[in-house]
Order: sequence, then structure tokens, then C-alpha cells
Amino acid sequence: MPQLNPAPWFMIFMFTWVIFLTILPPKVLAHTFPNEPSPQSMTTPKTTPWNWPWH
Amino acid sequence: MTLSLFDQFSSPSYLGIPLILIALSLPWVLFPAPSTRWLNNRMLTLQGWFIARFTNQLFLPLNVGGHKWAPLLASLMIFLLTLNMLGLMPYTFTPTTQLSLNMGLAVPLWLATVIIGMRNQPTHALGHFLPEGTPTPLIPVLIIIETISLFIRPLALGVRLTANLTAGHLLIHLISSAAFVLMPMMPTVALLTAILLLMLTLLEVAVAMIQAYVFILLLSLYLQENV
Repeated sequence: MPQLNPAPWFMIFMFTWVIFLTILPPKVLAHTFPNEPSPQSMTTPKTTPWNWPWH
Repeated sequence: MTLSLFDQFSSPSYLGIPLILIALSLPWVLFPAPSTRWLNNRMLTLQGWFIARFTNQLFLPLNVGGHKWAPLLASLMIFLLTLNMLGLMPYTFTPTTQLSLNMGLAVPLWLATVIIGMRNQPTHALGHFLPEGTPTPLIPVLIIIETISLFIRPLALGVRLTANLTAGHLLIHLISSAAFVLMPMMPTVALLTAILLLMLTLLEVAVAMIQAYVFILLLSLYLQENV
């Protein structure tokens, strides 16, 4: 099986980690999401009923 | 020298340049940098949605201490998924069929989870070697078994990905050769083989995605134990 030939192993190992540490995280982290997650409040706010003035 | 079916997996080089370098560096062109606009184009939106959703789901069962692994595991998922999927196209080389790459990713990451566990909470990490409620005579045997299973994890991680992808590519090669050779002789059988090839390709698409996911999932599980 040619994958078991150890000649290019070190080169592949180093190059993979170089790509994996330098190129990928900036691409992944560049995606920003504008919605900050906020915890749900335990209390429901009190609302006073009002009439819409339709006229 | 006779060409065997495994020769498609030998790391190719052309004019002295190992082509795996190109196979590893070109796919990231497909992931452009998001602009500073509020809404990006469809591809960026989809990629962002996938990354966010995946990271959210993956880190739900983990303690907060493990959440610092989020960029690493998200990058790893994109890495493996892209390489696996792109390798299914004709004439491409799949770097994840190389045992060197998979072991090179699995061993350091697994070792990192073990070292984190041993440094921060050694008692808890060592406690995994003896499940609760073991009958006393079984204790020595079980500790040996658990140690072996711990050390087999990186091997299994790497070899699982390599073997799954190699086997898939090999099967595609075999069945497509069979369909091609049978075409002039027995067209009906060739048609059936072609249908088999179509179904196999669909399976391989699924396997490509699933195996990448399993790699990451198991790593997150090992992290969960140690954090």
C-alpha cells in the first residue's frame, strides 16, 4: 500500500499542520454573527393593555 | 512495473513538486473571506450558517472549559469535510487517504486531550481506567484493558478515516473499470454496473461527510472526558 511508504510522511505532516493552523482558523473566525445570544429572562414583563386608536 | 489498483493512492509528484501540497492548499479558495457588509452572498451565508450551527451542536455537551477548542474543531471539520468531498470528483487526489495525514492529525489532538486531562484533573482523568462498580477480582484486568483502549484511540481515529476513504475510492475505481470493460461485451450488465456505481457514489458522498464528522465527534468526546 503506497500510503505506508514513510518517505513523504514528515512533509505531509508538517504541511497539513501549517495549513490547518495558519489558513483555516482565520477563514473560520472571519464569519461573524450579529446576534448576541442573551439568556431568556425568568420574569415576563408586565404589560398594561391599551386600545389602539383606529380613528 | 505493473500498475496495481493501490497506485492511485501513492502521493503524486510532478517535476519534483509533491502534488499533495497543491491538493492541500487549493480547496481554501472555496472559502472566501466574509465582507464587512451586514449581509453576504449566498455561499458565505451558507458557510457561516453551517459553521455556527455545527459548532453550537458539537459543544453543547462539553463543559465551558472545553469551549476554547471551538475554533480548532470547527476548522478541522471544514478541513476534513472539504478534502473528503472534493476528493470524490474525477482526477482529484484525496489527501485524507494518506495515513500520514490522518495519523498526523489524530495523534497530536488526542495527546492534547489526554495531557489536558492529566494536568488539570489527574485524579478524574485516571479514574476513567476503572469504571464504577467493577467486581474486585476484575480490577487488574480491567485497568489493563482500559489502558489499551486509551492508547488505541489515536490509531483507530487515523486508520478509520484512512480506511473508509481508501476503500471507497478503490470500490469506485473497481466498479467503474468493470462497467467500462463490460460495455462492448454485455451492455445490459454494464448498465447494471453503472447503476451500482451511481448508488456507490451516493454512498461515498455520505461516507465522506460522515467520516469527517465522526472524527471530530470522537475528539470532542475525548475532550469531554478530560475537561
